[in-house]
Amino acid sequence: MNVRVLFFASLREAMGVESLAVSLTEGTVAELRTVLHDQQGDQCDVLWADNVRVARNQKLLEALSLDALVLVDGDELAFLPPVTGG
Amino acid sequence: MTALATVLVKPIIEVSEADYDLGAAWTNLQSAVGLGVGAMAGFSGLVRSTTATDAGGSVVDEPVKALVLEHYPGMTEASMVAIVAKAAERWELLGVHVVHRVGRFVPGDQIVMVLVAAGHRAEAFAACEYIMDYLKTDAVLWKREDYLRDDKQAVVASGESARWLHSADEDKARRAGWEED
Repeated sequence: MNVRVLFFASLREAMGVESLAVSLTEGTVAELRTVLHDQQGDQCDVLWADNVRVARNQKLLEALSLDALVLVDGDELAFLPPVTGG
Repeated sequence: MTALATVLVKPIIEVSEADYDLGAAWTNLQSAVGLGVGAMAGFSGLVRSTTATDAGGSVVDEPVKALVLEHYPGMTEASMVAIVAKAAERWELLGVHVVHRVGRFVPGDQIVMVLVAAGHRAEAFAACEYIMDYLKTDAVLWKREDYLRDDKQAVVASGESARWLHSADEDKARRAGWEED
């Protein structure tokens, strides 16, 4: 399956790219973490910081259940640093 | 909370690169809500020419060259709609118009507008402040300040010295204040 991964603001700059298409076998977020690290190296560590929220198809996910979450083909996963609007 | 007797005209919630015309927006909102309106309150946020604090929270007086606002199309609008919906549950509102600009701005530029129309001033003032406070903490938006000096810690791809801002404790406290009411 293929998922699309988006990075915003400071995370986009740290990753040096705004989005990636990633192929997964099992489709868990834990697998995504491994695949991203294999492809992009240690710069991926910023994605898993405590203050980063993850949205699946624009809905925020609970951090606690993230690793076990199973994605489906076509999912869009966005990594969001703390917001600062207004 | 009692059922609302008033009818909120469909709120106008925009994420836009374009500037807004406060006067025109004010007049249009007043026309849209009709003669039941007794109070309108408005807020317009501008880019300051200096940053207030550095990354460690210390007070500094760093000249700002530009402010960059980034968003997540779709999710940002949805987060703003949710904020206005919560305000409309809390107070009897007749009309709301929110514009948050995104892109690159310079000191003096307008970046965020909140207009609220209600029957009475208490609701208009409170809802305007509430919406603004939640835009600070809950809207899906990110701010980066670009500085005139070039010795700041973070250097972005463009080669400019810059820093992505963190939520101020004051902003979190203001939001928490509404939760306690």
